[in-house]
Formats: sequence, structure tokens, C-alpha cells
Amino acid sequence: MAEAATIGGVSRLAEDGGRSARRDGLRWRRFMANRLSLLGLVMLVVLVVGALAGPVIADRLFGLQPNTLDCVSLEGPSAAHPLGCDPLGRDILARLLVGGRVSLAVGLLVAVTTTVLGLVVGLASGYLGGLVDSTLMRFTDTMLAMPTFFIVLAAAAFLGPSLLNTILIIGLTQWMVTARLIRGECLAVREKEFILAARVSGQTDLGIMRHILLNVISTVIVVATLAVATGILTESALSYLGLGIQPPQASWGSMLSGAQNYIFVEPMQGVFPGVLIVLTVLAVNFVGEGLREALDPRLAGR
Amino acid sequence: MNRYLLRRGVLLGPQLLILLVLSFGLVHLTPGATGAVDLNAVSGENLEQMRERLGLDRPLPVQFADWLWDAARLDFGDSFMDGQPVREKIFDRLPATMLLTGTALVMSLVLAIPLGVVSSLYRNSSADYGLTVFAFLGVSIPAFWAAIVVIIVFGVQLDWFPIQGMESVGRPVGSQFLDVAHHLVLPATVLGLEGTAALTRLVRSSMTDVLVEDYVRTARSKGLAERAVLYRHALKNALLPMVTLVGLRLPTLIGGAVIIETVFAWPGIGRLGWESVLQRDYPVVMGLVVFTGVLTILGNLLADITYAAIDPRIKLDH
Repeated sequence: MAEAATIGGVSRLAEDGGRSARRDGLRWRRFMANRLSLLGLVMLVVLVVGALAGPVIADRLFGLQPNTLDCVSLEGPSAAHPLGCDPLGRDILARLLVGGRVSLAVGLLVAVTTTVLGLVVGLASGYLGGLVDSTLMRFTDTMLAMPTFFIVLAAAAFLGPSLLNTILIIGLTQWMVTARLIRGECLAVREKEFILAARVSGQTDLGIMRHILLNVISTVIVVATLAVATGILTESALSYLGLGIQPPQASWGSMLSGAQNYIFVEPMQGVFPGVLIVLTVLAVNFVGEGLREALDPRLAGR
Repeated sequence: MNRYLLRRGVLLGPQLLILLVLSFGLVHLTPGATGAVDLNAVSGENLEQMRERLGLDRPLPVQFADWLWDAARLDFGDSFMDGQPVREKIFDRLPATMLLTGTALVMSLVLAIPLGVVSSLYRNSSADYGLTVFAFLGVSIPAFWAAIVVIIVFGVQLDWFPIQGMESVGRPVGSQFLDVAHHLVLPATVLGLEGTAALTRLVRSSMTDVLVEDYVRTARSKGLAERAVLYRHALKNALLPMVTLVGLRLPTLIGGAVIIETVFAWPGIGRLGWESVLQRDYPVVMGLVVFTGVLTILGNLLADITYAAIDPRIKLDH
């Protein structure tokens, strides 16, 4: 699932400088010109607002509780419970809204974890070179060749499934693509004249790394976005298999797991969580693709 | 080329070592889990005896060396659940997984190459747009949910395909081959979906990159028929990166197999892995991590060798 989100391969996004207002404006226009990425952005905003404000509104205004057994098991939609009830008699709408928080939080935090790890490994590798580079890249390549989902599964079971463990385990097994891309960018940027200038002017290694970092930032943004999608997908699969978010806490994956035995009688039980996962991941991927095109002038006009 | 292969082959050593350390560490650094039986169920004097018998009272490096020696001979001990040797358990289940993942991979390639080429040749057409949406959907749908949907629609409502296992219980209707093929349709399709979507996009971008190359222009300007330019010159080069990408897809395929085999009760190593993880059958889990890891590492090696064999430029690149 790791490479799943990296549609089309992200590369060569770095440019010299590139932080001027004019260029930012151009990038913004390029991003907005892409219908799919615009659609993705709108979807994402709706989903984030829904996840943040939804549970509060549902509770305050309509009295919908995610974890209270206050309705009949598998009851269809009614005025009191707009989307009906789950097998245990909990309100589906309230659980979907709370579950959205889990999905988005996991996606975001997995992206943060993979980005930090990928940056550290990628920058160290690309900047320091030599033995550090070859050691780190051998390790990265090995991790890339490992059936990581299997390790994620085992680690989640052995360490005990929880929200924090889910995030850490996914993050620790998904940083490799980021690291490789950052290293590549770093190698390209390292030879540029402004880095030489910085070196000549007596900048420390850390100072020079900061310069490099600023120049690979667009790559970082794009892969981080795609990592959000991977994080959400992996969490849902893990929770579905019973090794992610634990009951009674709601997550879209665990809702599907709970509905599993009833979907032949009540197919609708399996529809909403699944559709929401697809829409969220789709939105993130659309935005990621839009960012990639907007930040990579090489792709202009294609 | 020989030098390239030698350099590539030397990588195997560290790769395998990292894999083995990870697999061992995964189990042995787990609090409460000592890489052996569930010691929480044992107490007092028995616990000491048990630890001694399993060699758990020795220093960790010694245990690792011991395990390494056994692992080198593919001996991962016996399963806690039924006492069957781990190696036998894995080999029993391997053919089913090979069949499932192999079918899914072939399906992905057979569909993705023509779809990607069409998408690239008719860029920004409605076909390209449709395929783009398909590709995005394909990588955004969780495999387990796609599995549930096809089970309900094609397995239960339409009743076209079986939804559980690899063979019919009792007497199959037709030959055994057809019976297995019939069972294979749904799981292989769902497992191949994500790969088809991702590879379609990759073929599209690869073909698009190639079409603006000088040698394509040269081929056109010397008056070659468009068909020859596209299929003999452009496509051949565009498909080169596919070799590496197929190698890189192997871990994804095995990860996907865990989910698909669980949902469809497919008797392969993916389902074995899930069961063993839930039952904390540590020897089986360790054996599976090493085994699948070695398979993907060898798969990637094979991909790189193939690449070197078919891309003449590799010769100069040492």
C-alpha cells in the first residue's frame, strides 16, 4: 500500500529560490486550474469541517452520541437517527463523524512522522554522502523491499493496538519513499552555486542544510500529502482486521469490521464508512496530484 | 554488466541481515512476548523450566545467533498452535498465495499497459479523463471494502462467483481447474485493482516522457509508419521502467494478499499470517516475515537483473 498513493512518481520538484510572491501566485493559479485538485480541496475542507464540528453539532443540537447504546440494533434511518443504528444499537451518523476525526488525525500524524523521518534520513544521506549515504540507502532499500503491511500487523498485535501505536507503526514503515526523494533532490541541489556560495561564506553544515531544505520543500509537501492518503488507508485496513483503533472508539475501518457479519442482511451498514474512506483518500490524492503539477513546472501543459 | 550484477549481488548480504534483525527484534523486543510460548499463562517453577527449555535464559545475541543458524537452514521451529514445523506450514500455503498474487499481477500488467498507452496517446481526451478518474479511484478504495462490495454484489446478489475458499466443498461441478479459476475471479480482481490503477498512471507518464524524446522524432522524420514509431520504438522504451516497478510492487502485493485472503478465506500465507498474529504464534510470524522478505528481496534482484539484461545502457554505467 506504500506506493499506492504515489501516483505518477514525484520527482524533480525543487527549483532555485522559488519563493517569490509572483511565482506563488502562478502556482496557486496552476493548482486552481486543475479541476480535480479543486474538487479535492473542496471535498477535503468539507470533510475536515465535518470531522471537527460535526460531533459537537450532532451532540448539542440533536443529542446524537457515538458510544451510547440508545437505539435499536440495525434499525433503519429515522428522524432520531438519520442514518440508522449499528449492530450494537449506536447512532451511525454520530460514529461516522467521530470516526472522521480518527482517520484525518491518523493520516495527518502519519504524514508528519514519515516526513520527519524521511527528511532526517534523506538530508543526512544526500548531504553527507559517502559511507553514511550508502549505509542509510541500503537500509532504506531493504525496508522498501519488505512486506511492510505484514510487519505493521504483527507490531500492532504484539505491542497492543491503540491510536498512538497505529500512527507510530504506520509512520515507521512508510518513510522510505520520502527519504529516497529527499535524497535525490538533495543531491541535485547540493551542486548548485548558491550552496557553494553559502559554503564559501563560512556557513555551518546545519546552515547549509537549511538552505537545501528550503529548496526541497515542494517535494516534501507533495509526498507528505500522499502519505496522508497511505496513512488513512492503512489505518482503515488495520482497524478492519481488528488491530487498529479499538472499540468502543469509532473509526471507519472498525465500523466496517463491526458491521461485517450483518452486511448480507443490511448492506447499508457497510456503505457509509467505506464511501467516506474512499472520498477522503480520493480528496487527498486529488490535492496531492494538483500540488505536484502546480509545483513542478516541467509538467506544465501536459 | 557483470560488474553491475556483482555490485548488485553484494547488496544481498546486508539486505538479508537487516531483514533477519528486524524479524527477530520485532518479536524479542515486544514486552511480555519472549518469542516463545505465551509465558503469561505459565507461572512459578514451571516458568523457569520453560525458559530454560526454550533457551530464553541465554543472552539475546546468543539467541539471535542460534536463531540465525536455524533460519539459514529454513528451520523456524514449530508452530505453537499445532506443533507443525513452520517451514511445512508455509510451504503448504505458498502455492495458493502464488496463484492469487501471480494472477493479480498478470491482470494488472495486461490491463495497465494498453490503458496507459491509450491514456498517453490521447492525452486530455475523454478517454484519458475517464482513465484518470479510474486510476484515482483504484488507489483510493481500500481493498477490504472493495472485497466486501464485490462479495455482496457478485457473490450474494447476483450469485455469479463463490466468495469463500479456493475450492468447492465436496464435489466440484466441473474440473478442478475450472473450479479453482471460478473461486479465483473475485479475490484476484480485487487484489489486482490497485496495481492496475497505479500502473496505468505509470505507463501513461512513462510513455508521455518517451514520446518527446529525440529518437522518436528521428524515427518519425525518417518516414517510419506511426505504428512502428509508437510500438517498436516508443513503447519498448516506455516499458523499461515497468520491470523495476513490478519488482517494487511485490511487497504491496503480499500486504494486499493478507487482507484479501482474510476476507475471502483464501488458504494462503497471507491468511496464515493474520491468524498467527492474532494467536501470537511467534515462530510462524517470524518465519513468515523472513520468508516473504526473502521472496521480495529476490524478486527485486531478479527485476534488476532483467533490467540490466534488456537495457544496453547499463553496460556503460559502472
